[in-house]
Amino acid sequence: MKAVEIDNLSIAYFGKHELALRGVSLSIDEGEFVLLTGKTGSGKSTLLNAINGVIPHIISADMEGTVRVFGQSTSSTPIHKLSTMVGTVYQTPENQIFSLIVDDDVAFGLENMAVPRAEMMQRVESSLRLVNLWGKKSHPTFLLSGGEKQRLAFANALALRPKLLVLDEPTSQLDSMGTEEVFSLIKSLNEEHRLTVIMSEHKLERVINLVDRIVVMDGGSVVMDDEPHRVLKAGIAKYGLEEPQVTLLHKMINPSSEFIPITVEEFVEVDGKLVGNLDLDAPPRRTDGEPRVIIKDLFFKYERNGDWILKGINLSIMAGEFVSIVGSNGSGKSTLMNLVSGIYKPQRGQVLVAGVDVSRVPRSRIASLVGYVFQDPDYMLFNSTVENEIRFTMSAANIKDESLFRDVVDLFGLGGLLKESPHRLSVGQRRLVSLAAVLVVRPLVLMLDEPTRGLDYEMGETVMSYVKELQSKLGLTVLMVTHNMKQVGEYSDRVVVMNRGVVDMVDSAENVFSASLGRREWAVSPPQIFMVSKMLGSKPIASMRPVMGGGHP
Amino acid sequence: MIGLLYNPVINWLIALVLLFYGPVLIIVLIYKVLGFTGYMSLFKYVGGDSIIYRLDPRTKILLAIILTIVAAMTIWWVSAIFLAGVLFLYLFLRDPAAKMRVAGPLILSAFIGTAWSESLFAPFSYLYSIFGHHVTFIYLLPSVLSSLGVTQGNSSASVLLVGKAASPVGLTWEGFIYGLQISFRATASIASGLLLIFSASPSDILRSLEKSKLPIELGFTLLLAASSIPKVLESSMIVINALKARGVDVVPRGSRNPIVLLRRLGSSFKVVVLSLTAIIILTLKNAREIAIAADLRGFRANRQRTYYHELRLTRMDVLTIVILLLIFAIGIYVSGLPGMGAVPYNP
Repeated sequence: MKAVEIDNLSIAYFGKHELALRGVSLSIDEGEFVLLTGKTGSGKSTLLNAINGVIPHIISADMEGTVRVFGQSTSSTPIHKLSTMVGTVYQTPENQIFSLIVDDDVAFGLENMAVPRAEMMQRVESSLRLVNLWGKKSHPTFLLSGGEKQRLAFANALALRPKLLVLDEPTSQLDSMGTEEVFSLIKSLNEEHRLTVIMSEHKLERVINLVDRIVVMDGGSVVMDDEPHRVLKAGIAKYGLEEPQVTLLHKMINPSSEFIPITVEEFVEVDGKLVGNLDLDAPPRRTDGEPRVIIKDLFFKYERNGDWILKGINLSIMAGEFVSIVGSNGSGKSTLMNLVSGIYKPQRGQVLVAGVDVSRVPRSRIASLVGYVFQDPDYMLFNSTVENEIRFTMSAANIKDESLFRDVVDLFGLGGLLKESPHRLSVGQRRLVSLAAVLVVRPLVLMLDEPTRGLDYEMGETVMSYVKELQSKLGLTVLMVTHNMKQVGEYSDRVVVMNRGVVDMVDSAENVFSASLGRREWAVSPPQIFMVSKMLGSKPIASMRPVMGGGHP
Repeated sequence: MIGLLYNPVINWLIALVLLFYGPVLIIVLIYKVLGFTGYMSLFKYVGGDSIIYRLDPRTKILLAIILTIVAAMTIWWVSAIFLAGVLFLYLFLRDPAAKMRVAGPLILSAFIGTAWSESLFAPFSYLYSIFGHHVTFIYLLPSVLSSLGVTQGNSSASVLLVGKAASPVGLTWEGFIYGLQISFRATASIASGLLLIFSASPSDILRSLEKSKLPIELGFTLLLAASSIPKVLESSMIVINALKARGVDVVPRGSRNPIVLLRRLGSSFKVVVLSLTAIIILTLKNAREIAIAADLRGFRANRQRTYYHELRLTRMDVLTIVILLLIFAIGIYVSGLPGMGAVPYNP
C-alpha cells in the first residue's frame, strides 16, 4: 500500500485569491524518506498540513483533489484517527509541549485517546526509549535543552504509533547539537523502525545523505521529484535553493560529468584526484584598524545568588571587523550581546564602544553606538507602520536628520512599504525592516543574532548582502551570533568561541574549524568545503570565496 | 506644623501619594523581592516526597476551599491561626526557605494591600460600630475625595493634631487595624492555594479537577495558562530588552522639571502599550500552533479519557479530609457564637 497518495491537489486559503497549492500529485511508498524543499511560500507547509489532515479539519481552506494516507481519505477521516497513522512534529518545540513533566506530556495524547492504563504505561516507556529520553521521564519539560524538547515532541507523536511522520522544519529552532540529535533520531526511525518520513528542511547539506528522494516545490507546484543526485544534477539554484558546497565545487571543475557528488566523501572519491589538493590561500581577513569594542574582564550573573554566566571575558574588536560568535546554546553568547548593547550591567569589568562605557551612557545614546538586531524580528516590531517603526528609533535617539531616514529607506528598498503594518509583511521583509530600524541611526557597531534563521536561502543571502554592503559603506563593525557555520566561514574576519561563560578561542575561521573537530561541546560543525580540504590534506579552507574567485557564491 | 501639613498643595500631594502608594508598593515588592525568576518559580513545579507531596491534589484543593470558607465566616484571629497552621505545613515542602521567598512577598502584599485600602476606604459606619464608637483620623484628605469612597466620619470623630472636625475625610487608624485583621482571611487562603501549587504538579491538579467532574476544556485551559505564563514573561523580557537596545528608557528617568517628567511618563506609558501589542501578537501566534498540536493529539476526541497516573485517596487523605470536615463543622458552629462570626461587622 502507498503511504501517501495525492492526486491533483489544489488548495486556496480563505480570503486569498492565489492558490497555495496548484495541482499537486505525489505518491510516497511505505518506508521511504522524502525531503520536501522549496523557498518560503512555495507551499511546503500547506502540503504537509494537507497530509496530516490539519487542512481541512483545523485550518479551513478550499480544497480540490484528494489526499489519501494508507488508503484513507484525509478529508473524511477524523483528525484524531489520522494522528494514529500520521505523526506530526512542527518547528517550535515549546508549542507542542503542554505538561510540565516529561512522561505526563507523552501520556497526554494517550489519555485523550482513552488508551487503557496498562497499555499507556508501556507506550509511554517505549516511545521515550525510542527518542532516548526514558532516563529523563520525571524531568520538568522546561529544563530540557532545545534538542531534548524536540525529541519529546517526537515521542509525543510516536506514542500514538503512527506509520508515517510528517516533519515541518523540525530543526529550524535548534542549535548544531540539537540538530544532530534530531537528525540521527529521524534516521534511526526511518531505517530501523521502518517509518515513512516526509520532512521539509532548509539544511540540505545535513540531510541529503539520509533521504531517498527530494521533492522540490515552487509557487505551489511540485517542480522536481527524484533521487537526490539527479535532482542536484538538474540544479536547484533556479528555485532559489542552496546547493551543497561540494556540488558547486564539482560543477565548477568537472561540469560535464554524469555523476554529481552530494557529500564530502563522494566528492573526495570522484574529484579528489582531479583537484589534486586544494592549495588555495584563505581569503584575506582584516585584523588591522583601531579597537572599536573593548571588553575587559567582564563578569555577569542574573541574580545575586546565581551562578556566573560570564566569567571574565576579554576581547578586543577592531573597527570595520566582522566577528562571528559561536558556541552551544547556553554558552553565554546572548548574554554577552546584551552586555555589549548596554541592556544589562556587568557586576565586574566593562565594555567600551569607541571608548565609551556602555553601561554608563544614557539610554538614548546607546542606539547610535550599538545597533542590535534580535533573532526574531517580531520581538522588535511594535509600531503600526513601517515608517513609524523606523522613526521610532530616531526619536528615541533624538535624531531629526531626515536624510538618514530617506537613506535607509532607499537602501533597503522600503519605499513602497512605508504605510504597511510590519506584522503583515513576510518574514524576510520583517527582517529587513528590523535591520533598517536599527541602522537608521547609524550605529558604529552592528550586532546580529542569528540574522538568517527562519529565512530561506535566497532571503538569507539578501540579508547578508545588505550587511556586507553596509559594512563596507559605513565602516560598520559587525558582531554576529550564529549557528550557521557556512556563514561563519564566508563572512568572518575572526571567530570567537564561547564555552560555559568563557572565551575558548579567538582565531580565523579555518583555525577554529580545525580545532572544533576535537571539541564537540563547541557545537561547531564545519562546512563541507572545510571538510574537503581536511580530507585532501591540503591547507584548511573555510570559505568558497577563494575557490569561486573573489565574490560570494 | 498643622498649617504646613494642611497647606492645600501639600495636602493634595500627600493625598495623591496615599492614594497610589499601596498598589505601587505591592508591585515594587513583588518585582524587587521576588524578582523575575522567583515569579517564574511559582509556575515551575519541583517534586518531593514528604507527606504533603503524597496527599492527593483533591485533598489539598479541599483544604484551600474549607480554610477559605471558614476564614470568611469567623472572626479574624481564626484566620490568623489558619495562616500559622498552613505556614507550618510549608516546613514539609522541599526547600521551605526558597518557597517562603516566593510566598512571603505575595502574602505580605496581601497584607499591605488590604491594610492600605481599608485605612483609606473602610466605611465609617463599620469602623464606628466595630471599634466601639472610637475612630481616630490620622490625616485628613481634601473632602472631594469622599466621592472616591475615602472614609468620611460623622461630626464626633476626632482627628490627630487637629482635634474635632466636621465630617472629616481621610486616613483612619482603626481602618488600618481593621484592614490588617481582615487581611488574615485573604492570606490564609492565598497561603493554602500556594501550598497546593508548590506540592502538586499542574497536570495532577488538572487530572484531579477532571475527576471532580470539571469539564476537561476548563482544566486544559488552566494547565495551558499555568504553563504559558513563564513563556509570556520570557517574551516580555525580550521585548523590553529590544526596546532598551533601541534607546528607549522603559522606566522613565527622573527630572526636576515637572513638564519634562510628565512627558517622559507619557512616552513610557506609550512604550508599554506598544510592547504589550507585540507580546499579544506573539502569544496569539503561539496559541494557534498550540491549538493545532493539541488537536493532533486527540484532545477532546473522546468524552471519556483514561489516566496515566491513578489518583487514589490514601488513608492519609481520608484522615486529612476527616480533619478538614471537622474544622468545617466547628468553624460553622463557632461562627454562630456571639462575637465570633464575621457578620455583622466583625473583622
